[in-house]
Formats: sequence, C-alpha cells, structure tokens
Amino acid sequence: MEAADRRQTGIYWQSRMGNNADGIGGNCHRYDIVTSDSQGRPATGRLVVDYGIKIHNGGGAYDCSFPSPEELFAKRGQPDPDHAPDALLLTHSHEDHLGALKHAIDMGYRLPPIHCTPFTAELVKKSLAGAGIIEPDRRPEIHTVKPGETVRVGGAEVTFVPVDHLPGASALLIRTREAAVFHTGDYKFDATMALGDRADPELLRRIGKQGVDMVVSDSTSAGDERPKATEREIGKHLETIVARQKGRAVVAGVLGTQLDRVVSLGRAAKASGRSLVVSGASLVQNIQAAERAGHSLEKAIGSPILLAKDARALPADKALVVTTGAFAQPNAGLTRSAEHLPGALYIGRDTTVIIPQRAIPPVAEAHRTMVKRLEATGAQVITTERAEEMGYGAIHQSGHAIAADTRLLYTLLKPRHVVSPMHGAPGQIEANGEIARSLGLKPLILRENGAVVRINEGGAEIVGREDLPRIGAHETGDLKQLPRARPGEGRRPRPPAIYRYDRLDTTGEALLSRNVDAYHGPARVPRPPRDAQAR
Amino acid sequence: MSDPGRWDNLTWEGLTWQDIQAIGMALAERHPGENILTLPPDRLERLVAELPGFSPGQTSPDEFTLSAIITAWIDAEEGGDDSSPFEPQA
Repeated sequence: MEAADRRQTGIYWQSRMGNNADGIGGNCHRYDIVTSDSQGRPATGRLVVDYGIKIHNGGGAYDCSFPSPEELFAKRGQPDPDHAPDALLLTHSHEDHLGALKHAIDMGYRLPPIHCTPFTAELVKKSLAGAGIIEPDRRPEIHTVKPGETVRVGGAEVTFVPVDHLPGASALLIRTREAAVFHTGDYKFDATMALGDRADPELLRRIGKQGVDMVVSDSTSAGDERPKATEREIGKHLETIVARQKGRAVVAGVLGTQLDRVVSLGRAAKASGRSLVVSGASLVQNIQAAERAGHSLEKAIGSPILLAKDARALPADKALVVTTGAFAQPNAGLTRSAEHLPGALYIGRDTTVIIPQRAIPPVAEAHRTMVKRLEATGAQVITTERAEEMGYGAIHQSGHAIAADTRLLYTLLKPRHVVSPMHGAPGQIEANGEIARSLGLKPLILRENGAVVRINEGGAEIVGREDLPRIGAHETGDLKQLPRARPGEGRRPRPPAIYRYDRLDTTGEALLSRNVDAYHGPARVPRPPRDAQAR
Repeated sequence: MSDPGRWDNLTWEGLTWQDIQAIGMALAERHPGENILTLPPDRLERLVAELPGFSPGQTSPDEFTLSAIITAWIDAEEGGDDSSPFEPQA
C-alpha cells in the first residue's frame, strides 16, 4: 500500500496502534506537521506520541506486541532517513504508553529526543535501566517539561496540559498557524487526587476559546454513565474498612503505578494508628521515582512510609502492607503469596486482603484464581465488588473519563470540526462518538489503525490509509549479561530477559516474518532454574 | 540477611559508574538501614563514591545513571522477596 500524501498544509494524524479492533494497548500516534513559519517559509516536522505495548494475557505466541519501529524510527548507526521523527512525546508513564521504548532500542533503533513531565521521565529511565539499557549511546535524550509548559518542536507548539490520571499525566495541545489538535492521552476529572497537578477546567475553557480544530480522545470508560467516586470518597471508604480490622493484619494489592491509591491507603492506615509498609520492587521504585520527580507520598500521607525490612518488629495489627498484584500479574506480591512462593508475603486467617482495583476483562480469570487461593489460606478478601456488597462503598474508580467527564471536556474545548475517539474497543469508541453527536459535534470514528487524517482550517478528512505492521515479542528464555553483576555476590535480582521479535500484520494475527534483527549486548547467559528465580 | 561486616575487607577493584547492578548490590549490602525511598541524589552519589575499590574515573554520573543505580539498589534489596513483617507472628 502506498504512503499517504502528506504535502498539503495541515496537521496529519495517524493512529499506529491507538485504535485496535482487538482491544486497548500499544498506544502510539504519529503527527506530521506541514506549516509555514512567520516569514511564510514552509516548515515540516514529525512527532510521535506515546510508544506502548499491548500485553497478551492468557497465553498465545507472544508476551506483548507493539507498533513496528521500522517505519517510525531511524536505525542506530545509520544516517537519518526522511522518516525520522523530531521528537517522541509521552503523555504518561503507563506501560501501554511507553513500554515499547526498550524493545525498539533492543531492535537496534535510535529513539528521537523524548519530551515528558518529570515522573514520566523517571519511569522511562527505570524502564530502560530495568531492561539493561545503560550504555549512553543507546539511551535517548530526555527533556523534562513542566506541567502546563509549551515547547516548540517539529514545527509545532506543544503544550503539556495537566490531566487527572496519575502523577505527571498530560494531554497534548499541538498547535500550528493553521490548525490545533487536542490529544487527551488517558484522562479523567478528579480534583481530589493528591499527587501532581490537577486538570484545570478554566485552562481547558481558555484553550477552547483560542480554538481547537480536533480532539483525539480517550474512550476507555466513555460509555460508563454511573456516578463517579472521587479519590477522596474512596479514601474514606478504605478508612472505614481498615478501622474495622482491629487485631488483624491488613494487606492491600494495587497496581505499581497506582500511587494516588497508595496515598489513600496510607491515610487510612494513619487514621487507624497503623504504619504504611510497602513491599515489592516495582512499587518501591515507583514511590522513589515519584519522590525524585517532586511528588512526595510521605508528605501527602503525613507520615513516614516503611519498607518491609524495617517493619519486622511491628505487631501485625499496627501495619498496613501495600504490595502489587491487583491484576494477578505473575511475580507480583499478592500472586506470590497466593502461590505460596518462597519468601512471599505471609497471608493467613488473621489477615484481611483489600484489592482496591477492579479486574479488567483480560485478567479476570487470573484474578478469580488468585482470590480463591488467598481465601484458601483463611484470609478475608475484600475486592472492589465485595466492598460495595458489604456496604463500604466504592474503593475503586476507573482512571479514565466516564461519560460525564467526556461531556465536560467537549463542552470546555468546543472543537470546531471533529472529535475522534481512540483508546478503546469498538463499543467504547462508538459510545464516545455518541457523546460527541449528542453535543452537536461531528465524530470521526476509526475502528482500526492506519488511516491518515488531515486537519486544517477547513476541517478534517481521511487522505489515505497505510498498512502498519506490529511486532510480536516473545521471551526466549535467555537473559542479558550485565556488566559486573557478579554471580554469587549479594542477592541477585533477575537479569533482564532477551526477546525474539517477529513481524506481524496490521491486525496482529498473521505472522509476516520471524526473528527481526535485534541487539541485546555482548553475551547471553541461560535463564536460571525457577527455584533460583524465586529467591 | 547477609552480614554487612563481610564487606569491610572486600574491594571491588575498578568498579565504575557503568557497573550499575553491581553497585546496586553493593549498596544494598553495605547500607541496609538507609531510607532508599527518600534518598537524595547527592547522598546516593557520595555512598557510591565511598564503596571500597570504586574508581569514578573522569566522568561524573548523569541523572540516568543515578536513577538506574537506585533502581538496581531497590531490586537488590526487594528482589522477588516480598518478605513480611508478619512472619515472626505467623
């Protein structure tokens, strides 16, 4: 299929994996800028927004997939081809928005300069370091942007507009002389979240008054018409649950990046005279990263956070332990306890387990199994659904805009031409489009990736469609050899995995070619036996 | 828990800023009481420089290197071992 013609003035938007028919993940968008400068000279540029993975739960040939870097980035050590982007803009730090960076580097690609807010920057560094990408010549430049700041890049002015999702989450306002696109990233409205900057309706209204031609918007929860629970309300409900656990140990399972929920749990612990204890490397690393980025959880909670090693002398009923595993991920804290792995957090009949996160469909079966196993220890398990049945109220709310939030955003921005839903299954995208219609706005519904949409003063139109291969990543069983990681000295964290990369078609279903070139470092070592990994 | 004292006579000759995972393990062994959740970058840099046998060379660590070291330290400290403060009472 021929590349779409992108020569006329305007902003060209293409969803590379943000509108999958097979579900959310691998989020990535390309924006081509064709404009003129203040002297009327032509100016062009290219921006990539987000580069995430789609996690493949429940088997299949691949651990994850992501948009192919082959037509997106330049190969390392080779001159820039004409398609090299000027910048990679990251809206926030979830894996479905940045998890493919490490894979592209391992496949031999050079990432363009990254622009993102400080917490996202910290998690990029963590992601790359965790994958063993530590050599300066393989790492991308990272430019941190303050929330609300505008940067000039790729021929456009890009403003990082704070939204409520997780610390540092930003929508992107991409503006040229001829057009303006508001790319929401993942967002919702919740003024009670503790960490980071809040979405500001007045700022959004001002942006709308300046003129927005098109909104590219999160659809994940757009069909949800139920009332919304704020983080403050969730915190109060958690406080009630924890207060009623006198004499019992309390363990909570969250997602590693769900730091506002950790604050709510910390406040609930404090109200009951318990210390907040955090357990599990990814959670501890994320809290540390938040601290470095200026989001102090201890300050938000108003009391110190302890690590498990520092809390061993505490009586069980004086602690609230937060660990990972809300999605029953392999090797997460709760999962390890449910499977009685060596060294896992103890959970027994004197323990109450709280899981303040609703299981999403791809992990529902694993979640049910984990809860059953935890209950088999004699523990009481309070899931999000059970908390409501037990009368405690909501202990979770989606991090994405529900219908009321979506209406509010469109009312504030008043896009001149079109709304294009993204980040959703087909039903969610249609629900988002229906909200736009109900407000008299024109929705542009794309049920698959690859369409090239041109936006300018005259409106938005599809000017072409391109086939966009995906890459399927499969762990080979080999591990990277890191410099000076002396076997036998100290406790050994598991070295990063080596992946095999296959090229898949645009749907992710058909294999196009096996073993796409990749570079993993100078040496490989075999994976240690499972009992050694569990140490 | 390993004995921090056994590091007193051990040097990692030629350890440099690039040896991130080794530095993380060494810090976990030598400074088990450090509050890694709120450790400022300047203190982290000093703790690394004080490791026996450490050779900083001509280069100063950049932000990425310091972030990678703290990540490796937490990995070494936490590992897959989500050990419980409740175990003694279990």
